[in-house]
Amino acid sequence: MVKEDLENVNLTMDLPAGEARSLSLTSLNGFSSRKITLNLRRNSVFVLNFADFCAWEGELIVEANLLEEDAEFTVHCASITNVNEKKRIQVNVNHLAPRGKSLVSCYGISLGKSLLRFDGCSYIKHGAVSCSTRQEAKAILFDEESQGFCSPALKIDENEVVASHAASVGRVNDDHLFYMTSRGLKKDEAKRLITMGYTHPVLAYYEEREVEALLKALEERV
Amino acid sequence: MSTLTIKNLHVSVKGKKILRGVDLTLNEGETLALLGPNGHGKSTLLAAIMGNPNFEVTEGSIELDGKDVLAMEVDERSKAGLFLAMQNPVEIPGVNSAEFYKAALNVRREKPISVFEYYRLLEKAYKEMGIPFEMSQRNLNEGFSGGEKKRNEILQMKLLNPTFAFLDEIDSGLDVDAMRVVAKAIEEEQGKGKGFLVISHYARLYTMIHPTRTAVMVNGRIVVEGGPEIVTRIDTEGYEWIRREYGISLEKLEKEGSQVSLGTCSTKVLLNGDKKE
Repeated sequence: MVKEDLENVNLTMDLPAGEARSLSLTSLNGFSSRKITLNLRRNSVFVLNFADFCAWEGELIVEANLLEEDAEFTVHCASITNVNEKKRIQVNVNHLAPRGKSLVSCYGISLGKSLLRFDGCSYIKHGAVSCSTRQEAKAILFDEESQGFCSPALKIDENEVVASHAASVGRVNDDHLFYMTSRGLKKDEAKRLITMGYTHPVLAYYEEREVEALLKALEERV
Repeated sequence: MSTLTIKNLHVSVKGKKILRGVDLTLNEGETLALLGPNGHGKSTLLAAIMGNPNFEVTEGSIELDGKDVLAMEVDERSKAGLFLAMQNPVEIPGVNSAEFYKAALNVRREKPISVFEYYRLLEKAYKEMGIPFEMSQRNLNEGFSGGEKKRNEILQMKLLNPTFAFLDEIDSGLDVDAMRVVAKAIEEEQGKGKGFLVISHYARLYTMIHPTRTAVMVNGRIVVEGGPEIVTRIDTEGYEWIRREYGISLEKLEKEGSQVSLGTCSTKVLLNGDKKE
C-alpha cells in the first residue's frame, strides 16, 4: 500500500487492474478545497483516509468511478469545524461494473458557529449487478450555534445489489453532560471523550507518529 | 455510618415549584422505598440530589455526613459516593461504553486501572448483569432497548461502588427475568451495606429487594413515612387512603413530558437553534 501527502489541488488517479493503494490525507499544515477523481479498474482496491483536525474552509470532493468488475473503494473520514468555519466533504461513488464494493464513513464534530456538511451519493448503474455499497455520515454539534448537515444518498438503477445509508446529527446537550458528570467525569473530560469517540476511528489508519501529531492538533481545536 | 440528610428542600423546574419542603434522611445500610402518584416530585428529588442543572434548588439543604452536597459539582457528588440510576438514560453518540466506564473508574483512583484488571472487572459485571460483553464496545446506551439501558445503569452502579444509590423506576421496561437479575444485583449491594433510595410504582420489585422503610411523596412533600407495609397498602388500595386519612388532595405538579421528534430516512440536519431533526 502506498501512503502519500497530497500537494495538488485537483488530482486524478487511475488505478490499474489488480492494484491496491491507500491515500491518507491530513490537514495538519493547512488544507484547501480540492477535487480528487479516482478511476478503479478490475480487482483494484483503493482506501482513502482523511483526518481533518485543522482550521480551513472549503470543500473536499471525491469522485470514485468503479469502472470494471470487482473493484473496491473505501473512505474513512473524521473532521472538525470550529469558530466560523464552513467545510463540506462530498464523496460520490459510481458503481459502473458488476461486483464492486464501497464504503463511505464520515464522522464529524462541529463547534462554535461553524458548519460541517457531509454529503455524497453512491450510484449503481443498471447492469452493475451484485454490487454492495454503504454511505454513512455522523455529526455531533457541541455548541448552540454549531451546524451540521449529513446527507449520504443512494441512487440505484439495478435490482441485484446490497445498499444502505445512515445519517445522524446530534447535539451534545445538558442531558449528555449531566449523565457523564453524574458518573464522576468533569465536563471537560466528558467533552474530550465525545470528541475522541468521533475522531478515533479514522486514526486506526495512520501510523503512530502521525497519530501523535493528529491528537495534538485535535486537543488544540476542542 | 454515612447519612444523607435532606431538610426543607424546595426545587423548581423552569420556575414551577415541584418540591415544597422535603425532609428525608437516608442511612447507609437502609433501603428506602419512595412512592407517590405520577408527577408529584419523586424523580425531581433524585435529580436535585444528583445536581441536574435543569432542577433549581430554591431553598433547603442536602448534606452528606455534614458536607454540603448542594455546593458540590455533579462529578464531585458522584465521587463523594452518590449514584443515580436514571429513569431514561440518555444515548450518547460517539462515546464507547467501555471507555466511558474506565474513565469513570479512573477518576476515583490515584493510579489508572490496569488493562487486565479492568477487563476482568468489566467482564464479571457484564456476566452478572446478563448483558452480552460485546455491548461494552457499543456507544453509551445508543440503540439499547429499554431493559438493556436499565441493566446498564445497575452495571455502572456495581462498577462505581457508591455509598448511596438512587434508583429511579429501575424496573420499568424490564421483563421478569431481567427484573430478577437487577433485584439480585441490588440485594448483593445491600449485603455490602449500601444505602438505597428506590422509586417504583410496583410492589414486585420491592418484594424482591425488601425495603427497610417507606416514604410517600404527595404534592412535593413527604406526607407518610413508615415500614414496608405501606408498599403493600398502596399496591392494594392506591393513594386514595392518604386523602381520606390525612386530608391531602392530590395536585398535578410536574411538567409535561418533553417533546420528541422523529427524523426521516437518511438526511438529518441540525441548524442554528433549531431543535428539530
